Formats: sequence, structure tokens, C-alpha cells
Amino acid sequence: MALSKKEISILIEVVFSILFALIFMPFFYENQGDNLISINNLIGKITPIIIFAVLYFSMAYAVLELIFKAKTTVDERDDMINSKSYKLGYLLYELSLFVFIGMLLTNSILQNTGGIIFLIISLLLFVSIVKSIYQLYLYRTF
Amino acid sequence: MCQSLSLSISYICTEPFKMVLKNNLKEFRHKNNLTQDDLGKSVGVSRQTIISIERYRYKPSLELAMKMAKELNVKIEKLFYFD
Repeated sequence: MALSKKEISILIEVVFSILFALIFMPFFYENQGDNLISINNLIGKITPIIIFAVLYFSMAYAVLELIFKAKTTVDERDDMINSKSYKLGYLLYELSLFVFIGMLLTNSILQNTGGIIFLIISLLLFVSIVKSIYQLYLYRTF
Repeated sequence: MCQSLSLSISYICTEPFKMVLKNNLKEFRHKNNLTQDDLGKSVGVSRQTIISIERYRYKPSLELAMKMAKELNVKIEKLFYFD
């Protein structure tokens, strides 16, 4: 199964989301019950996330550019696939917002800052992964 | 009679939507000795887009269809047809 440059760049995004969930989510999960995540603690976690993201994407895209030297053309098929996948992503964001509000009103743990941050990041990761996988599916089938 | 009438009506009503847009892109591309990459570059799309059109997976816009017809020196109605 040969993948094109565009498909690999989508896979890079999916892998980033999975790595983010595996590396950084345990911290947010553990701090769900905290009423206030201390600023120092939060900054201490945000800095490695930013460094990790910059390093990961710069390395991944550098390798991708080395493998696929030809410049990619963005055409109407790409626009169609992107509009379809972003539409799904948008719908999922809307649904997530309702889920978030519903959980905020009913679940007592979400009255804490830690729980809210954990839920928001989980929903964003979920939507991002589903959107990217759907985009990849469209690239393979269209 | 009612049944046959109903069948005729359903045939008339549904038949136009059953038409599938097909093309002779591959055939005309070979006639012009062009690769998928060459044709893609000349009309400003990727090779994957040409592959998708040839496999009837993706229906091109009118602008792209006309560009391809011009590039292949063929009338658009010969390149694309309803089956």
C-alpha cells in the first residue's frame, strides 16, 4: 500500500494526536480532581508540550520533504476532501460542545478546573483523530 | 394496469438519477502519449486526481473537464458521457 505525500502528512497528524494522548494525557487525567491546577504546574506541562510539538512536526516534515522531493499540487479534489472532512470535524465539535455542557451541568467532578481541562483536551483529541482518519479514508477511496 | 403504470412512472422518475458519469480519459490519454503525471501537470492537478477520474471515483468540475478536453484535443462530450 503506497501512500502519497498528502496521506503521510495526515498520518503524521494522527500519530501526533496518539503520542500526545499517551505522553501528556496521564498528567491531565491524574489532576482531574484538583480544584485548581497550579500555574507553575501547568506551565511546567505546557512548555514540554510546545517543545515536543515543534520538534515532532519539524522532524517529521523534514523527513517527509527528504523522501518526497516533488512539490505537491493542491487541486479541487483536495479541496473537496478537505471540505468533507472539516465538515465532519465541525459537526463533531458542535456535538462535543453539547456533551461538554451536559457533563458540566451533571457531573460534579467537572466543577473542578482539572476535570474541565481534561474533558476539553479529550474531546479535542477525539475530534482531531476522527477528522484526520476520515480525511485519510477519503484520500484512499476518492 | 395500475401496476404497469406505477412501474412506468417509477422508471421515468428514477431513471435519470441512475445515470453514471463515465469517461474515455484513459483511452484519449494513451492516444496522445501522455502519462497520468503529464496530463495532471498540464491541467494543474495531481496524478492521484487523474487516477480518481479515470476510475470514475471523482467527478471533475466543468473547468477541469474542459481543460482536459482541450489538452487531449477532443470534444468534452466525447471525453465524458452518461452511461
